[in-house]
Amino acid sequence: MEDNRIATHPILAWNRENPVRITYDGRQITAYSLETVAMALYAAGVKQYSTSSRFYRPRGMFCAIGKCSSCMMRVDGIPNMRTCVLQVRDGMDVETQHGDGKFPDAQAAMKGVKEKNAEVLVIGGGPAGLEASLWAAKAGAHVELLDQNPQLGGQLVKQTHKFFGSAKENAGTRGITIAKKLIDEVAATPNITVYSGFTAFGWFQGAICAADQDHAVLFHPRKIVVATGAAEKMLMFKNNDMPGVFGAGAAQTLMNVYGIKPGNKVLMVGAGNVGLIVSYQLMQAGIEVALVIEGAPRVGGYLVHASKIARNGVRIMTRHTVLEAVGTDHVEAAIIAEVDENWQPIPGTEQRIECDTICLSAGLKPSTELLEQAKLDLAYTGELGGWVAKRNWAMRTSNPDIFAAGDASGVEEASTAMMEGKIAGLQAAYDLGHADVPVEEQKETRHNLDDLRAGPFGVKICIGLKCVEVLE
Amino acid sequence: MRSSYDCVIVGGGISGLAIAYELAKRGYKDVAVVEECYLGSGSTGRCGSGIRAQFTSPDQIVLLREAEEMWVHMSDELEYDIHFNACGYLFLWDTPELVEKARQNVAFQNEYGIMSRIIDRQEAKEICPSLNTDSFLVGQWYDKDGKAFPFDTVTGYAQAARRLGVDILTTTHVFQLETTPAHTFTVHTTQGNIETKYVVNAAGPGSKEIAAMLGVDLPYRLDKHQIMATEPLEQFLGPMLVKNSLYYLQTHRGNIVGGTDTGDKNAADVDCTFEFLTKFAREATEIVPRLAGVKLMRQWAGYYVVSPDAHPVLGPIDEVPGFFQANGYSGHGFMMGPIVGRLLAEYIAVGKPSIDIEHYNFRRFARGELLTEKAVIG
Repeated sequence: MEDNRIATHPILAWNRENPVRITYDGRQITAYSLETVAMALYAAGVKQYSTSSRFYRPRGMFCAIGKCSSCMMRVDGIPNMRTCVLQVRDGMDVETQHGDGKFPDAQAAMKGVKEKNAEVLVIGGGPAGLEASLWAAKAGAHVELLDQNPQLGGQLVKQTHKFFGSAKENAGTRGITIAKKLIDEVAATPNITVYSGFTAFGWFQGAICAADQDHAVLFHPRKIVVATGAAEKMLMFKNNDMPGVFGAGAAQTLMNVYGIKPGNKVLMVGAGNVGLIVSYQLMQAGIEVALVIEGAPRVGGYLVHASKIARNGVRIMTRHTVLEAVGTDHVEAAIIAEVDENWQPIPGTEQRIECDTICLSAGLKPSTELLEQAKLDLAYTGELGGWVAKRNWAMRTSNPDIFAAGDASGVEEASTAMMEGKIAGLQAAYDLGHADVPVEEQKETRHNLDDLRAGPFGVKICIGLKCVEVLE
Repeated sequence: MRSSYDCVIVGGGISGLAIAYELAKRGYKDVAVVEECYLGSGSTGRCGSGIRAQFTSPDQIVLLREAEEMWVHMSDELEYDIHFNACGYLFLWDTPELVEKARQNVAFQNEYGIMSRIIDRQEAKEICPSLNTDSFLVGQWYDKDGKAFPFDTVTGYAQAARRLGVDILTTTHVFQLETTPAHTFTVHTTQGNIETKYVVNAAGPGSKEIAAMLGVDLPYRLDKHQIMATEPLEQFLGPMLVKNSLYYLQTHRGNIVGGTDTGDKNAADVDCTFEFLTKFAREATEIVPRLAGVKLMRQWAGYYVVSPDAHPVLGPIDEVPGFFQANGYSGHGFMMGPIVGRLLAEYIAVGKPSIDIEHYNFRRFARGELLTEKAVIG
């Protein structure tokens, strides 16, 4: 059987001690207990999960973190399951979904809804949500932490590169190490209750409902920190829905979280930090990067990242975009072209690039669904990735009981997300009268956050923040 | 936008757009539709999308019977697929009293050419195989009732009207209406003033406010109603199901969409409540148990614009010549849209509608000549 799992890696190792058997369209597949369904299938060479509902086009995985609907399949008789965030269980029956999902075979096991009061409800267990939980708890609050993925850590768990910034804020440490530290701390904190695999799906006049496959809980929180992260943006080009077209972050999830090769030869579209870092990590995993293209006239990411991949012989072509994914049910090549000053492709400059994977690193969009449902004041701020909540210096939104932090409050990076989470978590606790952490700690973090943004790479963020930060 | 039109229609939902289209179709093309937000943003885009003629008042039956004829041909007429489907309405009755009432309704409807009928559990199960037959005694069934997709309907009407020369202005708010000494109107909008001979008030939940600008007090109450939609699934349901205040159907896209009565009708907000969700889930799964495995996708709320007799106000206002009403549908505006469009257009363009709607006139409230309708769902 085909196995796309990476055996050895210079930095990472994966726990493959507990094999389980799942059935895919009648065929037996071996998976490992920490894998999700989509990952186990991908490792076994299955790259198409469904066909689209109107035109029956093949669909694979795109975001790999539960943000899109590209990997929905029928699992144990239930349609439209997001297989990228659904952990495998022994004996699971997985079927390709053709067109719209079919009516469930069986009645769902979910029985009723539990109601729960909460002091601080943190939604999202990534860098911002973890820090918010930890600091709200340190200040003395009881915290309920929700995360829709099987494991905490958000996108930190795939960041193998070392962070920049000041030593106090984790500089020089790999993202995965920070994630482990934070997750361990959360586990060791008695006044944090973790709900893994729970999706917070609705705002109901101050209450938040969240559910996993079998349970629903209606939380009545006094304070809420929304740290739901961001989703990768799609680019418009022919066949952009073809299996083999991934978000760059998704490729990173496959490789670094699950140890699975996304492909053998990759075209990276976008030379911002994510595009550059993921390109380098692809090479670390033994995958060939055919080319990096960037629409802008110059590379957007840090020079240090660009140099690393250039040193390894990968070309970065600026002023180029992707026009088409070529293939029938999977990417076989890409057509790229040069663009003019108006980002329009220049006829005659088309080139065919042989590749089996196209990674899109076209930026992120804040996941603001809950903030929108709560009818907060939002402002469209291109510098921060799209619609973001207006907030004060402590991340308090237009609803005094709701805070936003991390990419959900504006796309930036993990270091700043952690600081925002800490500031918001502390403020939520202070609001409730908890004062076990002195307010100087919060003030200092805010200073450090401002310092981190003061450099040349913070200029764009600061312009964006001017539109949404409300002075008091 | 020009500074004068023959007719200005306030409201870009199905009523306003259908009237505009029917006017233009009759060669009466100097028409503008003014919508304060996007097309269908008021009640049309929030509705349950059902279309039925199974009413208990002769007045409604006559209009809906005609409307259903129009709905059948609407996609061809507008050259746009509005996804009309005669899926039928299946009412489920679960007490002997209700069954008796249903028999009377059916007899009454049959007199008016609506060939609804009482069916037993087995036939109901054939029509809707996922039904739990223990949850009702008999069904009341009419196969010409159906559904259409509100946003496609609005788009279809708007495109057809535009092709015929109608101007449609979105994100344009009407903040003042004035009569002029020359018996015309000045419509003050956020895009500028418009002079016009006729004003049609098709502003849905905003119609009371619009009428008040000309001193007309429409006796309406806004009732909040919530709806939820599930994930899309392959077609399995069949008809629109109705049981007491619960109703739901499966859209052409595959979502189960429906609502039920909740205790917050008088709320001023259009917030979603969890109480609605749990009540709907409980009631919906009682009649189709396997729905319990289907995931919620969206939830929203909108208003029924409820008149004292649950019938709309249609036609001119005696005291303000040239000011026409097409509002107060009490939850039935979408299904009535096509016929209201035709009749109001005839009224304005020809002076006389082809079906008598004088008893729908606003003056009935002052005269105490209220109409009766008991079959309001939701």
